[in-house]
Formats: sequence, structure tokens, C-alpha cells
Amino acid sequence: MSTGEIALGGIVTRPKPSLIRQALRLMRKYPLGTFGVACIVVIGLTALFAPLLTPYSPVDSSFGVLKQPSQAHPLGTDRAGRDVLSRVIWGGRTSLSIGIIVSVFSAFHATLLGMIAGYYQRWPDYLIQRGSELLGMMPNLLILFMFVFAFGPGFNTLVVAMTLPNAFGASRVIRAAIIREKQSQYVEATMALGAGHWRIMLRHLLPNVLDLAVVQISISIGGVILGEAALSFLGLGIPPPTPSWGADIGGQARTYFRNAPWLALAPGTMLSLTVLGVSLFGDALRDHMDPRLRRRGR
Amino acid sequence: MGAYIVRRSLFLPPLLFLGSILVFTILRVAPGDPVSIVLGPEATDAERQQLRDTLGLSDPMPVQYLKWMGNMLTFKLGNSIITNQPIGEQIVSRLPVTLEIWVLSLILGTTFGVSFGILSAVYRDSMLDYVIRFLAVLFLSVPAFFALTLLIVIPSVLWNYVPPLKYASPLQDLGTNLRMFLPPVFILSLESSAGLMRLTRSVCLDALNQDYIRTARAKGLRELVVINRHMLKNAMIPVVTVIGARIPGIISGSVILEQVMSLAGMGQFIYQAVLSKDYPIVQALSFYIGALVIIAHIAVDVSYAYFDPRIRYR
Repeated sequence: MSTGEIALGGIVTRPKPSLIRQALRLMRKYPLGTFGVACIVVIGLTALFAPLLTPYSPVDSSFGVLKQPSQAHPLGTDRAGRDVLSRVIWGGRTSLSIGIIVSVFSAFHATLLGMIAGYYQRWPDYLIQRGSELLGMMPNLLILFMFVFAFGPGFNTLVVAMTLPNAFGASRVIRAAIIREKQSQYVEATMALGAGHWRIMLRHLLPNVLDLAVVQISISIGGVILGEAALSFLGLGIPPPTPSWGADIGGQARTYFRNAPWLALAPGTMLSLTVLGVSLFGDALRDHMDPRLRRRGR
Repeated sequence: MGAYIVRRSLFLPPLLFLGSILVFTILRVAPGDPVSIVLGPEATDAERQQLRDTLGLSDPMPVQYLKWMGNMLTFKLGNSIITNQPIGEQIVSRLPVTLEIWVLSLILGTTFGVSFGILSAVYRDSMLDYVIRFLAVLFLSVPAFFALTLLIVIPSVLWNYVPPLKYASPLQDLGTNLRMFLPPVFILSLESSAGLMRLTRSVCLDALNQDYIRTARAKGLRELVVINRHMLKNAMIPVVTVIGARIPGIISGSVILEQVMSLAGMGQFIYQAVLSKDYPIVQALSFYIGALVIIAHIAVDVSYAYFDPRIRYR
């Protein structure tokens, strides 16, 4: 018996490995996922500490128009005379906050819809299923266009218009899991003990489908960030002068590409890196949580 | 088969109904009303009433809905309130552009996605596999509008190349037409093929682990025959099922593509209508695009039954 193993009545058990050791093992197992997490952490921290990292305000337009990169402005200034580096750093706040808020909202509503559909079945299920089929078929950009048309462009419009299809889409997975879990013995036993519907759903079914919701949503964050960027690129997303990577790639950046390619390249690279990080992380999380995939030995 | 088609088509009316309700609710019941969206706060009451009458907004909601549906189903689209041109004519002239983008990107995306997915599964864990998978993640991360912007600016900066500006019909001038459409659609389809490639890879790997593959190899079939006859036929079923699911992505992509490349298609039409607050256009296009997608989806669904007899008996 080696050290670190404790004999308990003849059974040899190992103490749980330390948190750091667990993390290291996961990192070895999912190198790409680790890279993704690293991207998210770095970009997340720069976005979080943007006010400390940037010497200028991203909306201050007093630095002279279209200046070449210099010591004072490492990425030059844009057509409105704003510091490009500051805008790129602050742009991360917009992208990440949209991504996180829409994901949290979607996870909550997806779980709610999925539970109602899977638990009650019958007509609520029919309605929710048709709704999610419909929203799944609708091009996302079309839904965004309709919401922007009706409510005007802005942060809240974006959140609502992206939560709606995401929540309905993810609810199908939750619904399927609820239908499966509902038939298990522990639910039957709880029913026999006289527990109410809500108690069964919240105390017994919810914990069993929660990780599914998390995986579903983490996979969709990349799409949410891209949605905001695409809409802002088209000038219908976050209204100026709020910094947004999508808006900064669009607009005038294209016209000045010959002399100032960084105007488009800097926000474009950051956006791509963020989406890359999020999707690598989402993939690793799904592989880790889904035992069926784990066994396949990929 | 016939019974299955009928059963699946029964989903069509409720979906179309729900879709029309969705469009109607978002665009009409929304905050103030369309009239203040279109005219802005400075309009006089008389102007408001006039526009309300032209748009048919004075009636009670259910009546409005029925009238609107009647118009949509009989293709009475009315005129743009900005340019006063008939919407129907615009759609007819713009539809070929958009259809070409849709069809081309469906063909290109599916070809790339499926063939690279198969390659990556057959040569699993080889250098080729890693390269393909890395590129797939890359293509999924670089937003289409950024890649398309680079597609325009880089050749123009390096070689002063400008793609043809005037739309050429593929029937009259195929060369110019392809020079216009092929590069951007290629970029667009890279993004959509990446997801398909990953799915194809995983279902092919699944199929390769099956017993019948081992049997086929054991009886001495050449690897190519094993893959062609035994793996592909089974692996392609789930792949076919997601082709329908890619239609909405292609439509969103075509809106971006038409805007970036300045092609006068349906996507640009609805985008400009949203920008200029052209209410009748937004409403009509939202409904028709929605209806088109729903019908296409059901059609693809029905076609699975042809590929996979098991679906018919579910």
C-alpha cells in the first residue's frame, strides 16, 4: 500500500485529488478547451479592467482624425478621432456582456420551457414544441431585424431578440431529458409520497437536467456574440458611439483599409479570438459532460 | 411513404399560422404603433390618420390580421411607402440574386462539409485530420462579415482588383456572374461547412466502430469498398437531416453577403427597408421568408423518409 491510500475495513480508498491536480488533469485531457478558457480569461479580464488599462475614453473624439500608430496611440485613431486601442479593449465589454446576459436569460427560460413541456406534455408541450420549431427555422437575422424595426436598435432589443430563439432552441434538449427522467423510479416514489408538481420539478427534476442546460447554453454563446457583432456591423445593433467590435469593423473601416488596415483588423481579430475561445470551451464542456461522447474515445 | 408525407404536412398549417402570428405581433402590437415608427414624433394627427388608413391599421386587431393574411396569400403586396414602387416587382427582380446565393452556398457548403468530414474521419488522428479540424474551428470563429470585408479590401489593396459591379444573369453571362458570386459564396460556405464537417466526422467515426464494418473488413473487402458501401450509406442519414437545419443560417448569411458585396437581392431589400422604416416591405418580406423557410424545412423532413425507411414508421 503506497502512501496516500487509507485502508478502511479492507477497502482501499484514495483521498480526493486536490483541486489543482484535478484542474491539471482536465487541462491535459482537453488542451484545446484549455486554450479556449485562456482566451476567455485574458479577454474577460481586459474587458473587466478596461477603465484601468486604457488611458483614454473610448468615446473621446479629441485626438485628431485617422492618425497613424504612435507611442501615444499604439493603434492610431479612427475617422472620428477616437483612440482605436481603447475602443478595441472596451469593445470586449459589449460583446462579453451581451454573450453572458443572453446566455443566462436563455438558460433560465430554456429550463422553464423545457420543464413545462416535458412535465405537463399535452397542449403546453404542443405549443412550446411548435414555437421552438418555428423559431429554429426562422433565420436569426430576420428575427433581429423584426425586433429592431419594432423596438428600435439597442442593448435591450438585442437581448430580447436573441434570448427568444436561444431559449426555445435549448428547451428541446431539456424537454427530452425531463420526459426521460419523469419515468424513473425516484419520481414515482416522490409522487407516491404526495409531493406537488412544482416540488417534483424544482427539487427532483431540475438538478438532473441543469448540467444539460449549462452545456446547451455554453455552446450557443459564440453565436450570440456573433449575432450582436453582425447586427452592429450592419448599423442596427448597439448604437454609436458605444464601442462594439462589429460596428468598428463596419462603418468607415473598409474605406480606409489601404492606409489604416488595423481599423478593421484589430476589432476583427479580437472578435474572432473571443468566439474561438468560447466555442473551444463549449466543445470541451460538452465532451466532458456527455458520457456517450466520452466513451467514443475522441 | 404517402401516409408519412401527409402526416408531416399536417404540421405545415399550424406552423405557418404561428409564424404569421409572430410576425404580426412583433411588427404591429409592439410598443407605440407602426405609424409613429414610420413618421416619427413630429407628424401631425392628419398625417398619422392618413398613413393609418393606407396601411389598414384603423381596424380592430383580428380584422387587421385577417385582411393582412388575405393580402399576403393572394400576393397583394402594395407599394413601398418611401419610393411608392410596387413591392411585388422588386421581389421578382431581386429574387434571382438571392436564390443563386442560396443554391450555390448550399451546394458548396454541403460538398466541402461532407467530403472533408469523411476525410477527417477516415484518416482519424493523422496530420490531415488535425489540419481539417483546426480549419473548421477557425472558420466557425471568424465572422462572415469580417471575412467578406477582407475579401473585398485585400484584393483591391494588393492588386487593385474590383469584382464586377453590375449584376449579370447566369444565363446571359456566366463568366461575369461567377466572378461576382463565387468568391463571396465560397467564403460564406466555409463557415457553414465547418459545422457540417464536424457532424459528418463524428457520425462517420460512429459508423466505423460498428460490427458490420468489422465484418466487412474481416471478409477481406478493400478499405475503399468498406467505406463506400458500408460506412457512407449509414453515416449519411444524420448528415442529410441537418442540411435542412442549415437553411436559416444561409439566409442570414446572404443578407450579410448582399450588403457587403452590394448585390441587389432580397436580403439587401429587407435590410434597407428596416433602415428606412419601410413598414409594408418589412412586413411582407418577414412573412414570405418565414413561410419559405418553414415549407423548405418540411420538404427536407419528408425527403429523409426517402433516405431512411425507419423514419416512416416512427
